[in-house]
Amino acid sequence: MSQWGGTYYSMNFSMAASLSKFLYECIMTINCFVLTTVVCGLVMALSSGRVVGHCRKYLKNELLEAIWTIVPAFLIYLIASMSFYVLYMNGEHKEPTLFHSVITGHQWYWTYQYAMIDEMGKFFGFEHDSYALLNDVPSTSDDDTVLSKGDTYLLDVDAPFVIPQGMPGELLVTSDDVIHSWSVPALGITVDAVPGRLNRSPILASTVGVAYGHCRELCGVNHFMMPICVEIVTPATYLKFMKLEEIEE
Amino acid sequence: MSVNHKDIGTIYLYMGFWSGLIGLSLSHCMRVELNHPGEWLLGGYTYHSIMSMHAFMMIFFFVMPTSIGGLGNWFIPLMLKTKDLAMPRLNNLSVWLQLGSLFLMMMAFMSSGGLGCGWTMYPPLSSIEFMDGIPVDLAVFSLHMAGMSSIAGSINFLVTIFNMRLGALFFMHLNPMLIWTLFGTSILLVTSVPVLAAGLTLLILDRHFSTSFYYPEGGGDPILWQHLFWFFGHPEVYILILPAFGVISHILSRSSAKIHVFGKIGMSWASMGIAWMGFLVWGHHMFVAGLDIDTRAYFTAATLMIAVPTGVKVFNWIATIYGGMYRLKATHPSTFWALGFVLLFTVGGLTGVILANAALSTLLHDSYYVVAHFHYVLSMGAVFAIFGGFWFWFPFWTGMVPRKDLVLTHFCLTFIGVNCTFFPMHWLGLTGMPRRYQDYPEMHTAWQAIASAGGYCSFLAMGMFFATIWEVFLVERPLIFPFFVRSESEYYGTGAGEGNTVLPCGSHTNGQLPKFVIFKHKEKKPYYCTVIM
Repeated sequence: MSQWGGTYYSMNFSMAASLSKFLYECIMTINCFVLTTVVCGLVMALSSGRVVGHCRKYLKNELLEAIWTIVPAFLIYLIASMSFYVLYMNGEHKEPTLFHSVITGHQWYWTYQYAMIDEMGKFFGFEHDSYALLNDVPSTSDDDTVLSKGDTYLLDVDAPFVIPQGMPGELLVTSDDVIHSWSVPALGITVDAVPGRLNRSPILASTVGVAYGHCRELCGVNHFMMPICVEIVTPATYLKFMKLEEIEE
Repeated sequence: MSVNHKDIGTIYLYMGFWSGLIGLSLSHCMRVELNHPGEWLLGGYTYHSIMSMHAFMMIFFFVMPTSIGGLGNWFIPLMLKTKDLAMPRLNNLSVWLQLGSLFLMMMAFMSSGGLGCGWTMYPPLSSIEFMDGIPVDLAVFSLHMAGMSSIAGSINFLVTIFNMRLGALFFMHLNPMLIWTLFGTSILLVTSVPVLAAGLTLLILDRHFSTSFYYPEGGGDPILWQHLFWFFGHPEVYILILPAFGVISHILSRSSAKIHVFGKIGMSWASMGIAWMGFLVWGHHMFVAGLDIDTRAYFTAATLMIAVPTGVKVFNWIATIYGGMYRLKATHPSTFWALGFVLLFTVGGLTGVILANAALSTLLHDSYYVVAHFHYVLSMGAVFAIFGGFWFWFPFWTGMVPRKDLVLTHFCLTFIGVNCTFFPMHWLGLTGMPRRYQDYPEMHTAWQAIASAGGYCSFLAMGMFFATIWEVFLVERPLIFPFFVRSESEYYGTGAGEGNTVLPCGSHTNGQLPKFVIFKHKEKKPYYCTVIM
């Protein structure tokens, strides 16, 4: 969630997000330098007639052309090296993966499957759906499908996705019907949910909190109504959550 | 049923402007819906249909017919000092295929609720299972026809440029910039449109003939469509912008009273370089679709490399402006459009450098940042060049001159309108607003409302444009002394015939094909000129 009338991401919940944002800022700095050069060049060129007079024959200058080919090429090389560093840093974890989740996109909700290996080496898990909260009148007093006080329309969901803080995990994203895209910029993750394909993303949340995201691939009329809400909890809470949910199932 | 390149160019221009107005109205519908949060004007499917039609109209029926069909048909024969294109009847076929394609696309918009899958038509959303009406099929056939029209036109242009140039020895120089950029555009079209046609055919087969090219259950892959579409789609966007580059070079060299653009050989190489590299970068539209990490790294590097020749072009334009006398009162209206292009296209190109990085696609994929980027380069790149070229060549086409204050008012309103609309979209994208949403979380209201205000301003600007056109045809102010300074190819007489004719341009030019003569006296530099014998 960002500020009303905000102009930039306000939250980083993972190293991947922080690195990506730092890369954005570095490239934006270079861009501002280039844009300033271009604007100053334009102003200088437009007023040069009055200062220098007509230069109708000024049609080539090999040195100048070489400079403005090589300097941008060098800046592009800088940007590319930073970009490669961030891409490969975010692409994989050094640490072994401790939890796995399979996220399935449907028209127009998400399904989250949790899996862990318990102390006895046994695999256990469960799943739940996650619908956007509707902008509607509650039908009963404990109706949890509609917005209640403090919820944000198109951001809050009935059952958020829970992940542990500080534990490296893996998301496997797929779809049941059309292409969706699971995107939480605060975690630095956007993965397309393509039917017939399991796309993988590493995930490592660094702070507890709540991160929001949206579906980012056109998937039909209610494409705007499948938000993502990620609750990042302490590992102890996560284990309790897993055991509790499993017992409930 | 004229085969005259001028008539066909005029048909393309009329069709292009009409479609541009349709596209503009559709965008205004979207901006009205997005003014407040909440779905209050258009239902979801209608919104997506309007959005898809906006894209198709603007890309395939406004920018391409106007810049390639209109300007290409008008000026390739004139600038090469030849009578007509190499295959005039094929030219006629192109324009009627394009009109048929426009008809099919309008039918797609108006049947069964419209086309709700976006102009990119990703399966499975565009497959028979999720969109089982005729709009997708009509759109596919419309694109097939438009593709055939483009291929035929491009073959025509390439044959003409290679074979019918006056002074055929001098391919590398003395060609006007518009010829070079249209040459690059034609090569891009001829190579990439068949790939689109293949992908579209596979979609039709999947939809109606039980094949499974895009269905995983049958061994296919939805990502196949993305590869095929974007292998066309990326050269397509260079097709949209390259003619604009040529127009800007012409306008700026004339307004600086220079015979050609600064560093014209570098400019020609940069245009060819952009065209060539445009084939190698399609994967940057698919960074989050599940490509291998090394593949993403390659596409990042290749996309970043295109920034180098584009930067060369921008700096060359600035150097072209240097040394020209630019006084507000004496400046031709088309110059304002060209200057606006240089500034705003640079902004759009720089946001493109940001989006080129796969590492940032996790933040910015399918967000309003992408919308801001491509509208800066299209709505403020291609469209500014089209308006600039229109007013630049308007006296040549009609012999009349518009009222300068009206043209400038239109320019100012458009400039303010499009910037108000698209600059806040950068912030919307950075704060997480995704594309193709007809409703949004309330935190985005501020910038969406400002963007819609800009939309209303550009609506007023279009009204101003109508007023300008109405006034010029009402008053019929003739141009007695053309503003034109001879360009290099006119000076040496090897091309750019538009400077040598009486205004307005007659229907049949270069009827007696000029001959190219080289005078060389001993060791002095050779002197070229054309002679009509």
